[in-house]
Amino acid sequence: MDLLLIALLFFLVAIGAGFLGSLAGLGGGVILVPILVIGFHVDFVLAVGASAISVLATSTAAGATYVHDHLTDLRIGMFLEIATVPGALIGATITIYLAKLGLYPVLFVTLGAVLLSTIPGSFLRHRTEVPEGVVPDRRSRTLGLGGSYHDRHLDREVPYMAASTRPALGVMFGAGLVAGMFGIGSGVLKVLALDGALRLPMKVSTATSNFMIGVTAAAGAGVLLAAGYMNPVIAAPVALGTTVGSLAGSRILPGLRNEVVRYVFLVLMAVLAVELIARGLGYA
Amino acid sequence: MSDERPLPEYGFDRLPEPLPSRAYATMAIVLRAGLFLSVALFALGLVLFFVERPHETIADLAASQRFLRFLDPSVLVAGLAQGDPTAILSLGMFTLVATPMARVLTGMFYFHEHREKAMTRLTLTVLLLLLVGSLLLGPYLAHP
Repeated sequence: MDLLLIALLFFLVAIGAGFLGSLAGLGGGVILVPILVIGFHVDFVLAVGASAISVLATSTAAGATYVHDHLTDLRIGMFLEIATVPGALIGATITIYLAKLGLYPVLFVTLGAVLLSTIPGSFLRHRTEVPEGVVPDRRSRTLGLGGSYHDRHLDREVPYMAASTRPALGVMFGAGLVAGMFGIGSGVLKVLALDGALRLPMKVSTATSNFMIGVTAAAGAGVLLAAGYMNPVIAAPVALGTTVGSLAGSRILPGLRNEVVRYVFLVLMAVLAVELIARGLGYA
Repeated sequence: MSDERPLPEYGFDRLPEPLPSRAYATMAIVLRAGLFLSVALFALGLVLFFVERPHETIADLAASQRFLRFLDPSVLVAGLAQGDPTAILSLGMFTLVATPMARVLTGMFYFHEHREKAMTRLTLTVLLLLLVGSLLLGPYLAHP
């Protein structure tokens, strides 16, 4: 098949993944690797590289908007990157080593398991707009991990401080590891740390998560790129498509963001996860 | 004599002072500029690539190692000077990966300017880790 046709298909599929992922609030990167591997027989590590590049592009676009609106907490974001970046470096290294050893079934099954484990988390998310009774820990008080923002919906200035920084660092390391291994944003894990451990207001949490996804993806992508596991003829159309799709999802049709779209996306994720696990175990 | 501010105990009764607005504005500009440049390079590179090689197959691509050579900066510059589409695409990827790194560098500059030594050190550590990954770990893993 001509490469031009394949690149066009990559572009169109990435638009769909970015669009659906944006409407579902999970990002398109999470389904790109299985689609590229299962649907187009792209090498697993090259697919991870292409996905990391697309996550970089979409998070950079969203991150710029959130930073511009002052919703991102720069201190908290930079503080947590101290955990996500080493995680991503180690994750990318594990993937490259497993591929060199020919242990692709391990990568298939692990990614399938990661996708499946994401599903309950995204159903059970009961996010609190502004948590109450937050007690900042010592590190948070010393580093100044807090601030305030003007909430237009509540029409007031909302103060916040980060609560438990130690468990948040642990979860963030795990998020970075998964992001580096599979070129995904790991937004669900990041939100778990920001909402659950640090107990930040939802808007700050979402903006800061997006801010960090870019640096985490850059850590994994930098390793894959320098190790020669990136092909721009695959990565470029995927990145362009995902960016177009996610921008369309977030700006053109915000009214469509509802539970039905989320369920459709999660079902698609579950099907891809089962297919990956079946392939990894030699059943497909 | 240290210019570090005494470490205050922040809390809800004493919220930390935000970084200046220009820190946010500069980071937004860095991110948007990096994204715009890389998207433009991707689009231009892909168009030129398929104009030059309309019938290339995925097997040709998989068999070639043409992108690896652009990891050498001098080869990349020479490729760009010749208008090589693969060099343009590679530069797009380098630009996109470097964009968050530039954002971290910008953050470090403003934390330093704000005399927040602990945050400056943390940000410098993140930047060094990113550079180690791209300049040492990646090339090391490239070997068979």
